[in-house]
Amino acid sequence: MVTEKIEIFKSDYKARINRYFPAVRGAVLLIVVPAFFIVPYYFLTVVKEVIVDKKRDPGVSYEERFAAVRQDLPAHAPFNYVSDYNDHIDFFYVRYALIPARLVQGMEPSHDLLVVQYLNTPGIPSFKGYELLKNYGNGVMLFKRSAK
Amino acid sequence: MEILAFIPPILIGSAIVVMIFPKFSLKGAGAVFTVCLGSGIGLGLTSSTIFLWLAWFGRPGAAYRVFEVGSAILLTTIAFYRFHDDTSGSQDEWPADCGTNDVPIKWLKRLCIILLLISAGSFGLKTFIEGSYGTIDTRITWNYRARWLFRGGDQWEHAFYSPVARDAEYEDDKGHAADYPLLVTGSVYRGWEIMGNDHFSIPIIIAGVFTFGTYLLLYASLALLRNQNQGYLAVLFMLVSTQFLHLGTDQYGDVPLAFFILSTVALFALKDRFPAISLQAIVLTGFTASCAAWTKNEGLMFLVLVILVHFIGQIGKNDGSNLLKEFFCFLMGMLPVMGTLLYFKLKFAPRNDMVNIPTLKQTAFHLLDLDRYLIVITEIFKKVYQFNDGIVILLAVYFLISGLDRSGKGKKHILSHVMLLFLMMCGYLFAYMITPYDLRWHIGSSIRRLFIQLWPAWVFLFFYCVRGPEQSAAEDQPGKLSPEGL
Repeated sequence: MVTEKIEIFKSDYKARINRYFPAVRGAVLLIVVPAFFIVPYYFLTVVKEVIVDKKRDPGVSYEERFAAVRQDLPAHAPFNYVSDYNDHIDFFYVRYALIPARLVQGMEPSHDLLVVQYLNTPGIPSFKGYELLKNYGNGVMLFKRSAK
Repeated sequence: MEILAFIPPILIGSAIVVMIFPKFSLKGAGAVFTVCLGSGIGLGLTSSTIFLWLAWFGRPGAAYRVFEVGSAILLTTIAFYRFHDDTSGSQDEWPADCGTNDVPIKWLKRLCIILLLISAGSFGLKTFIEGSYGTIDTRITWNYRARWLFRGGDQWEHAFYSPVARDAEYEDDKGHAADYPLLVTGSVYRGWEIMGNDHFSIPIIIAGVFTFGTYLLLYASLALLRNQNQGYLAVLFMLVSTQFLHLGTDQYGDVPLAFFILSTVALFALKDRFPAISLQAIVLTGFTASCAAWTKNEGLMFLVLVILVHFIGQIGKNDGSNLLKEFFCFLMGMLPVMGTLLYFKLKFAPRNDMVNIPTLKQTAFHLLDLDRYLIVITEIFKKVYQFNDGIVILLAVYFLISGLDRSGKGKKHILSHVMLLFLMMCGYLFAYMITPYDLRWHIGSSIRRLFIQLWPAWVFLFFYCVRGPEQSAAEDQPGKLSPEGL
């Protein structure tokens, strides 16, 4: 009795599937149905991130912020870099934006030029042995070693 | 405009494929196969020629452009004549029973195309607007080195300077993976050099070529080996694996490597399926396996394993002279890119951060530590289960319902492909065993990308072996209740 009911159910199920998806195995739906929902859902997630949340690559702002100071740095010369932005990837963004100058994180060993990024600290900072060469007005400043 | 920079590599690569496979290469799924495979091979070849040019003659200028465009025109002309001669001649080297004459299920085809276009939209939005400069790996490895090659002037070799690898200290990751091969870096640099500026669209287009090239290559190879419907189904499954698209948009080097691993496995399957074209397929596997080695260090391991499984492992099983001939063809295909890789590794690359003399003693201790084996194996199983929200379970259920296809020819060799991918996974396990970094951090930060390297090849093998989506005549007709059932 139970076997008969199962067989009837199976046949009915197959007939329904074949009405909509003629000539395919039922197992195919295991892939087709998730794909039908997941791919558009992923697209809508991206649209939300881009349009609603306005999520943008920080790399773009780094490239823009450091474009001016890059022109003032001699190629291949090492320079020190100090930032008040407490994120370990900050270093990688700045290093990438300022190629071909060679970034040395922190004040040691000290070089003739010092690039400072102070985004959260108001005013112009002072560094012993260095004087301000140029303030780019966007949190980025260039210092040079004071003449002794 | 940046797209123009990709015409020569695509022409060069496609022309090489047409010259080797003139009979089928511009028909139906064969055309898709040719263009996808050709794009990958072309990018591999041009990334190595521009690197050699930079190393030998200095900054590539107008002369390099003339050389590249001239090569593209010359190869395309030869390919055209070879194709024309072959199609008009009587020689029939491509078997008639390849799956190019099958009837596609229309709704499956339409769904596949629509979902591919939606995925392309996701890729475009995510790359060009949300994450133009790629993920952190891109900025510290691939594009970092490409920018040094482009902006570095006479000191471009600084791209391969690695304080970490030279001092064997691992507290900081400055100079990350400086010994990595140059397919992605060289292709990005080439695009920038040709366009004259380092715009972010060049690496995005390269990521797009390899991401969508993988989907299309998966479709085309299954269409040639099985039928188009099986190809559509495999692509739909890859689209459900959103991790792959996600890593593609992040511009990781693992996606190009996945492309070359898939190409190599698919070409070996074609070789097994159609013995008449086996030598031509072997030449192309030489190209693709060497391009895998030119992409990432894991690709170098893949190349060694290909030689081990498909050549050394066949000694005694196959005819010796035939095997030697095949290996010679493989070497011929491998030579151009592999030669450049050897030159780079010997002359420019710093020592590897995981395998080097200063850490040899530590490596030996790690290999004898049984706890590490337990941690690595447990983590690998856990991550396989969790990969892309448990997609392997979907695969397992599909297999249980659908079953194995036993009709195809050439599947007796399937075990060697499975063995190849399995050995790759053993290689990953070994790499984790000897890592000088914190083990759990290293596994957690990289295992997802390692799975992605092999994922398209596993999906290809799976759909090559399982039964197709079409109901056979023997199965129940729609809407009819079988008398036995009642």
